[in-house]
Amino acid sequence: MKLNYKKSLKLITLLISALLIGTASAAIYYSLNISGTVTVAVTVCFGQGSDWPSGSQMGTGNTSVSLSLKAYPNTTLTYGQALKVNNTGGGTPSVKLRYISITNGTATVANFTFINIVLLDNLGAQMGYLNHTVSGNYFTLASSTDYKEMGIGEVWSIRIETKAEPDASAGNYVSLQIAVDVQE
Amino acid sequence: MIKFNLKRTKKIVYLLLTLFILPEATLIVSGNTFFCMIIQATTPVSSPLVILQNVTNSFIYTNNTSARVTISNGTSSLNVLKILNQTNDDWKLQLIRYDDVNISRLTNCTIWFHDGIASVQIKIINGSYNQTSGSLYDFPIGNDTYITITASTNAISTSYIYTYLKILKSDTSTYFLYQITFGIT
Repeated sequence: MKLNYKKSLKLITLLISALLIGTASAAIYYSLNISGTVTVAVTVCFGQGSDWPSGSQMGTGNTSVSLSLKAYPNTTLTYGQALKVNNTGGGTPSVKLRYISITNGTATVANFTFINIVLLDNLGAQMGYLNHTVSGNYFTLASSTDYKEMGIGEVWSIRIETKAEPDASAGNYVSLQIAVDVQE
Repeated sequence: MIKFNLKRTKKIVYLLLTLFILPEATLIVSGNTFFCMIIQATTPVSSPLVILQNVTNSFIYTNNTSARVTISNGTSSLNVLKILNQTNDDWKLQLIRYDDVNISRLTNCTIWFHDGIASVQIKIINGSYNQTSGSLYDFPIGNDTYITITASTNAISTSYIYTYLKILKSDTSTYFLYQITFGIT
């Protein structure tokens, strides 16, 4: 089959022009074509564990918690199940522990030996931990654990271990903030 | 007039189309929903709820939460430590060996709780462990319990048994670990 060169060239030019116009239009308008529905749904939330420290408070929606922990001189105190982490949705989200903040760089810190936050799965296997150990007036910070996938309906838990120095004075305290990140 | 092959023209068109589609494809993104839950904790140092007291041959460290006991060959049923429950809760006690040094010379070393009822926690016979921990021992409100020891050796030296006194709150998994070291000369 024989083709006219000029016609072919025109056809190609036309196609390129059409594509350019289409692409340019898409580039301008595609961000306006987002539509969706937003529903309020919490698929992972906290629950009180069997070792829920007295004086602790659960936040609204069970997505935040204020724990009232204790530490004793020269003895390790373990809250075997301070908190539950419930997967209430039908999916398999991944969770991890992430450090946010802790009292640091003051003489108060020297009263402590360590504060260890441990994430355990439904079978009690360790899924990661953030152990904040003390050196002088400073906590050595633990940044983040790896994401671990929760099975449908599984209930995981958080164990907390604290220890104060042998000569620690009662009344000294530190504040700690940890995030439980959930990726769905 | 130049003649062109249709197949060749098609190929050029497809190539151009591909080149335009590829850059657009890079604009496609994927992602996951993400949220975080917050744990805020305040941790004060508190006075011990259960304390150790020397009865005999014991050195109690600051704050009464750890001790070193030193006894000699031929010691028999000697109360060395007293454990005082100063809380409003029932607890349970258990002695757990976590390390030792030079125990082969111990022909008999038995350590037990008693407040009338005895509960053997650690037992070494002829240099080998018969028991490295005991059963949970009731430690009710207002109770005092003793740690008692019997020891005999077959050589001059010093042996050490390093233990944790586990103090478990009844019906929970909240517990303390106190370090107690036994030295047998």
